[in-house]
Amino acid sequence: MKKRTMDASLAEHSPKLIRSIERRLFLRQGLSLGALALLSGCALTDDEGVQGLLLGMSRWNDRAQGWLFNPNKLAPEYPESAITKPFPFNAYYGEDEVRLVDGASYKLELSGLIRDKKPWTLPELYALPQTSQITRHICVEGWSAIG
Amino acid sequence: MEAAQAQWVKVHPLVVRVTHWINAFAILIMVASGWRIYNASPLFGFRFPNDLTLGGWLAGALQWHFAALWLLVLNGIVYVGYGIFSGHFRRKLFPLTPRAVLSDMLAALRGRLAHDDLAVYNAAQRAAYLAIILCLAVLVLSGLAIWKPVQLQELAALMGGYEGARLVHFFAMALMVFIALVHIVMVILVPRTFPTIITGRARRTS
Repeated sequence: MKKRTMDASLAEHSPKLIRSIERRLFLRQGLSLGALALLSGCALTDDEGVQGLLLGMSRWNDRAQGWLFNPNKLAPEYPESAITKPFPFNAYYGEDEVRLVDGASYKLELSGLIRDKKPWTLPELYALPQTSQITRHICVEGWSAIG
Repeated sequence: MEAAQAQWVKVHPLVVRVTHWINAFAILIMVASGWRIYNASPLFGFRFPNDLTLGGWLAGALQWHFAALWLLVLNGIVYVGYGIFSGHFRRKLFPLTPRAVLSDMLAALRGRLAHDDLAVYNAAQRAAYLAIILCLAVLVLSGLAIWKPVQLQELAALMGGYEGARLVHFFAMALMVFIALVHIVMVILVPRTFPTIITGRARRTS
């Protein structure tokens, strides 16, 4: 039924219909072009204009978060029994490649918008007031673990 | 015959057509970048093919996801606001009974679903469109909970915490993608519906 109406109208060469078909074809091609562009998502993201737009949106998001959220809200704490064991190891090197640090010569260097940039040694760090809490660590990759 | 051919009926209002395409574009970006984010730490034993994803790597995909999120949410507010206050939802999506949805779905599977008047949605369409709207609402809420699990910890708690919200986000995505694919297959099967979501009009077939 549907097919017959379509054929009949085509036979009459209604200019309106033909225009609408051309429009449809154009749209379809447009859509597949868009899909192609998305398929090479990597190249698209590397484009300078796109990169600028994404960075701009990222900065806007930072500002929006500043307005929307309460900087004093703390993460919920968990009992010791909730600690994830084993806690996932996540680094750019494997667990067996962990490098040993010599505690005696270790120094924590500070930089940025601070007055006192004096490096900290381990004993100095240990002498600072200490507190501990058990919270959920949420990685930007998506996984989470309590520790 | 000539007179009948000149008869056009309005099928989709301008707001619906514009928000539909903005939504389609935003969802394409959200799904493609979301799959890349999923791949960084898969919930299940599979990864999405990287060729189908957007962003190139995790940080790039997150940038796309958090940029298109505004497009999706603002466009969604316009659409849902219009749908509620203009009576569009009430007229087009309701009444909706489970019995009608079931019988229309069975008819669709047998290839016998009538869709003569493009201005009136059948029950299967109503259920599908309503489900997509609900999926998107759940996706936005679970997405917010994943994005800010400390600030929005009460919202996350509703979904069983951060890990629960991840699962909700994944399954709402899966359901939405499935319905969208069925939607596209239906448009291919009944191609005369396609121009109406662009021009808003359809030829009266009587």
